[in-house]
Amino acid sequence: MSTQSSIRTWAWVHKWSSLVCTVFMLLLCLTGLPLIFHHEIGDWLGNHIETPQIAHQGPLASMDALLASAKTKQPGMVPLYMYREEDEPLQWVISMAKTATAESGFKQVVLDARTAQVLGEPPVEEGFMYVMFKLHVDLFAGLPGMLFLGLMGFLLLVAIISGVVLYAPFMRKLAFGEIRRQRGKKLKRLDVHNFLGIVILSWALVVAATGVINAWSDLLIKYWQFDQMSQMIAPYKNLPPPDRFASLQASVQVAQQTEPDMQLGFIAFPGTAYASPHHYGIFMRGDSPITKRLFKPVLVDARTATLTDSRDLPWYLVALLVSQPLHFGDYGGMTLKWLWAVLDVITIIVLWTGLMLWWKKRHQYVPDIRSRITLSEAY
Amino acid sequence: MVTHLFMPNKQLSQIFFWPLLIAVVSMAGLIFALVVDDAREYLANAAIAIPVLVAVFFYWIYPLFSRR
Repeated sequence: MSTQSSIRTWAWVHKWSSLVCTVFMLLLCLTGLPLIFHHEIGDWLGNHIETPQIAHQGPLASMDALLASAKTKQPGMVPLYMYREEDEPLQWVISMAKTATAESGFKQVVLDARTAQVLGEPPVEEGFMYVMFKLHVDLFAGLPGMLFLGLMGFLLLVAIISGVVLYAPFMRKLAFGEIRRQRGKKLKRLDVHNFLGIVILSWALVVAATGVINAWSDLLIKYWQFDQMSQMIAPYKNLPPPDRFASLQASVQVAQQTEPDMQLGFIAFPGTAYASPHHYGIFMRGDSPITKRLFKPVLVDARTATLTDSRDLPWYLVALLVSQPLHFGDYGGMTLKWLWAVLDVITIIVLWTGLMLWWKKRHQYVPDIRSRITLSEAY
Repeated sequence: MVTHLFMPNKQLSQIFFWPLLIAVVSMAGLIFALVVDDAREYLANAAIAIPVLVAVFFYWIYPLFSRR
């Protein structure tokens, strides 16, 4: 058992690490709740674009036809990324903006993969879910906001670990799961805080840690560009940007031939963070539950449609990609989403009871020495 | 004969037995759900649900019995 002074140190660590991050964690839990169901909420709000039922024989539309369709719909804009949603395999989404490095003013064009017809343009950067998303990810403050929330997540990890240490002295005389209901609000609140906190320990640790990793995602991508991309595109260093672009379809075929056992995941267009000014970044993926999340970049010269380089992802991007589902809870169907939601609500209760324990103790006035001793023993 | 008026001090191993068991099983479920895509996913989800079930049991169900 820990000594009195070390308990006091841990209590100090627990109090201050939680106090600093609690308000932000409440915000993250509340905004995270609708984000768990962002897909379902999008469907419910009528933002989901249906794939029309048509009799279609023969090959799918070429990538070039899809791109041309999107460009006709949004003239004057450049493509950024091209990807598919898992539940709509017959749709391609092309995101676009005024320039490849734009940080706002995005558009999305949804296309029929069979006919290259435009199916719709879902709203981006607006609406309730966008506000929830921005509050959750960066507080509308870009990279500094992300890193700040990452720091708050780190404090939460410290609070969780110190909370586990403090669980022991509080539980010396209590059975597991015992909640003292008859002896005042304060003890009940303390027991609920300790009990719920220890029960959701693993989930809270996983979601907090993966959230911290995600807060670093922009910096990890930047480091990847510096670490790997710069080596892969070294021969292009002093070349002017391409004056013409080769066929996207031909480029995708080059990537497919390079990685015959993988399938097309998404495409990053020249100039974006996942490509180079001279290349299509064609990201291939595997088929198993794990490898379908792990992309392998194939860099194809955007001017000649020839292979430049292809490398496996470094460990830090593998860590990022594996950590994402563990944060979002989107990898086990609706059951897992509901579990995520309930565990999120339990986390809110733990945060709230913790905050109230501190607040009430702050205002506590104990007149006589006997009840003060009794209370401090209980605490 | 009453031997203990209050519960005697518990050992660390007693204090952490159930919390650790729940933590290990739910962590295994979280990771297992990531690597399987078939019926075994139900097993993983069940493991992840354990903290929720334990919380519901001790908060709402257990007091109903202990009050008697």
